[in-house]
Amino acid sequence: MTCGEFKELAAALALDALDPDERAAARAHLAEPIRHEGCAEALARAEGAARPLAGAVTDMPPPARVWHGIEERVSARAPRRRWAAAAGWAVAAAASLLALFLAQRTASLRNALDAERGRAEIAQAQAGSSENRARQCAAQLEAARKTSGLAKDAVALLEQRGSRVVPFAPQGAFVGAASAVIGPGRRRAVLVSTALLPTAERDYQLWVIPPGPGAAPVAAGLVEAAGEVALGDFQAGALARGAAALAISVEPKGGSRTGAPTEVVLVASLSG
Amino acid sequence: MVAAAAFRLGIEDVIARIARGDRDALRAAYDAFAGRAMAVAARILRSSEEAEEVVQDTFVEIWRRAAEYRPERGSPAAWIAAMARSRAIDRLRQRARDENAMRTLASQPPREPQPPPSESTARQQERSRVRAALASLPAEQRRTVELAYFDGLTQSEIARATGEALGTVKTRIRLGIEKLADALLETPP
Repeated sequence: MTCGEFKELAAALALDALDPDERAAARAHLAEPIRHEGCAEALARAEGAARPLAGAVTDMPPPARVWHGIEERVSARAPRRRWAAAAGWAVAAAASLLALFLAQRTASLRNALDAERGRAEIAQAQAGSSENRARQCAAQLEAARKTSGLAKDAVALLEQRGSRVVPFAPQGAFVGAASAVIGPGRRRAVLVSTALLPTAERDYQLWVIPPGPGAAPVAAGLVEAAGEVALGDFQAGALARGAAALAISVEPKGGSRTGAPTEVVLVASLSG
Repeated sequence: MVAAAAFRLGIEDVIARIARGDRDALRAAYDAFAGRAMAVAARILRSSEEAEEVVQDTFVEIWRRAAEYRPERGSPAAWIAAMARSRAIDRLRQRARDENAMRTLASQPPREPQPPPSESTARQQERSRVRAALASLPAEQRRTVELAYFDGLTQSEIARATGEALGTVKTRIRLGIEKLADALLETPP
């Protein structure tokens, strides 16, 4: 997809009116590490026009049972706060791991993350500092590795020389953060997030976007829950063809029924 | 009464307080914005029952993720409505689409409910502003944008529902959103 083609689609993307394959291609284009010709700006303008449209409706106050249901559900859990606050205990628990990890790899990690920010404008707004990103990722894995083999694998991957942590950029109205721990040579990639826990109704699916214009996203597995953390192991077969970007979509239970992403919610560029 | 607590606290303060675990703030946000979330979801899903579930999911999500709210990505009202719309569209697109139903939808705009008696002046002004901006679009562009935003149809579905060529639908959406952006800029809130 060219920047001109993307700008033609920006309004429909802002309205969530693209078919799944077009939407995935548009999101992949936006995440491409190229010199864009006003793509992010065109999308921001279209979103700025689409966003207020909800204000045109006539409000319909829901019946009292809706609030009662919310009260019941929020009573069962505390709000998830910013990482620095909510994961404080996990950060402390992970201190020894982090001390070793950061001592060895802070410089290269920071360089990798900084370079990534420079290439992905949207990710730049969302990524936070590289130190926080590393802390979040390590703390999440420290908590999960007691119960999850995949979390243990991800910790081992983090400690490998040549691995890096890549932030995902939220798409559209999606709110939530995620990172991918990318192993040396991009032979393995593991998603780590607290925002993508599967529900009874839906799954989150992993996708690899191969390099080259118009390349179709390759399905790479489903996100799984490990306690409060969501993890995803990008399938080696999907990564073997090369990857320009990784993406996560929200899907009906069991994964996409069309072979293409239904609703891409997060994208991470893998350039560099 | 509705929304009064939220406005007294300051809307963005409400979201910050929710992030700190304040349930009164969640209630204030619910009073202020649940009606809009419900209307958006009900219009897309054409089902009050499902819209109620969407509103519930949306506010539980707000409770969990208030700390992730970014003012630069839009007002709390827009953020919450976008969340509800996105969840409603997720549900809609999991259903098998009925072509006849889509054609009916395209030919018959839904009846407008009466505004709640407790509606604030600010809310009335906001609705008038957005509706005036929509009304400034040529009729075909306005209807195409409405089918996409309020009915959750994709461009291809709009083309099938209206019998228009896909290229025509794409052009109407692009031009409609461009004009809408201009119209909204001319009348800032």
